[in-house]
Amino acid sequence: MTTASTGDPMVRAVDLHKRFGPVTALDGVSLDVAAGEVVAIIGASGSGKSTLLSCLNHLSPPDKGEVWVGGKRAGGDPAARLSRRAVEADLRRFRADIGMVFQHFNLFPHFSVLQNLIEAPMAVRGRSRAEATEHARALLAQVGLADKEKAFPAELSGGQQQRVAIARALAMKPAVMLFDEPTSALDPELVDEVLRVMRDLARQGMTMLVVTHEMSFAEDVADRLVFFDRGRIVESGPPREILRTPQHERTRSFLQRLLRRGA
Amino acid sequence: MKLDFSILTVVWPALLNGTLVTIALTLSVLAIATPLGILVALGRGARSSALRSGLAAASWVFRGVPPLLILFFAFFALPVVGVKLPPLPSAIIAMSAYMAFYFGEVFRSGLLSVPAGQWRAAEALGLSPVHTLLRIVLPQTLPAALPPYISHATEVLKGTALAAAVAVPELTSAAKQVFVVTYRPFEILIAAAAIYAVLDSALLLLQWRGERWAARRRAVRPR
Repeated sequence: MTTASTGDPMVRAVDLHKRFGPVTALDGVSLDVAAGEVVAIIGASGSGKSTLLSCLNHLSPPDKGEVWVGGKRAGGDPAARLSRRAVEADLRRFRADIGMVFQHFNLFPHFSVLQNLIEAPMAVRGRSRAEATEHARALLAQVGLADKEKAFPAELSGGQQQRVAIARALAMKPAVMLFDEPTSALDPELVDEVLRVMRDLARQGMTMLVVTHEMSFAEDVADRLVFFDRGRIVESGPPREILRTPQHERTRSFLQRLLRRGA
Repeated sequence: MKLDFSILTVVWPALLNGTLVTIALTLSVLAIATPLGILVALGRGARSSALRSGLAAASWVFRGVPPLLILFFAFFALPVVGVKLPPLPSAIIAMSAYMAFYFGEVFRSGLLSVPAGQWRAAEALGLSPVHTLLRIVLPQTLPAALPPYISHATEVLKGTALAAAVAVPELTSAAKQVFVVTYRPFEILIAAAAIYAVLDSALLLLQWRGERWAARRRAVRPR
């Protein structure tokens, strides 16, 4: 395993392919994301955006292609001919460095907010309870939920749950954060509190990949916009340019549809 | 006829012994069949189709034949092939064998009640599959699995009376032995029934505590 030298991308995806039965979800996607860069990924549903995220942390491994995060290759060095077990263990370490936030939050409902945040740092990182708790409290303060550590997920609003989910991912001190439509399941009035937390995170220099339909967030926060269509990256560049003057016909029609819907 | 429970002051040691055997048998069967049931449930969702269909067939057999027949099998048939066990262990093995498949069904629907997103979230955090199962998924099966689990556990408790047929000196057989010599079946059977009722209540108390535990920890269903 090599470590990243400065200038290497934080995330490197090379020629990812993924099929689900007859459906091609990813059709040769390559993407480099620099450290501290925020990339917004847009596109119609079913275009492969979410699949890209779950291929990046190998929740569903790509059929073909490679993923590197922080200079480490997912699944280890193929030349080492690792056993299945060793590859699985390597993937767990790999995933631990990648924070993931889901559309439906997926908090652990039987754990208190605090336990949600300290479970994995203790089990995976081997941190002491005291150490993990201290870090968790700092993160809860950061997402504006310092007073909720004893609550259970079902007692929180959707926006609060998603902020806890972001804090849970951050508790692992990840090198990169993946957001899979983090505000799509929220009532409109709860969207802003989550976007605010994400904005702060971007400002602090976190490397982020965000699948989103929030165009104003993409425009304001993202350094780069990537437009997905039918499992391919069709267009990629500064958000303002793509949103104002899309070069590709598919981008244009997608943005017009979005505009008509009033999103 | 007048009931006279003073007879109990004489026969209580026999009933107490029977009660202790019933408790020991019930707890042993639960302690063995519960983890086995979890394994059966996991096996029935396994990738290997041979394992899946093997377990489905075994589940069909063990839940389809009378429990008494399985008890007879363990106590009378196994010695023929050289496995000779005292009554209590053979009853524990027989009852654990079929209860494992009843619990397997309970935990299978329990596991299916936990959304796939829970596995994914745990996996994304780098948690191992075993940790995910024990700490994240199994506790969440509680709301779905607890009521049928407790009702099966009650069946185990009542089913221990079957073990009398293979000479286990549990409560029902102890009661019978006492009333045939004292000729006071009413008092003694009522006393035995009261003891079963108390033991049943302990299981219901467990269910009540479990439901209270789960109440605040209920799953959050996405709209």
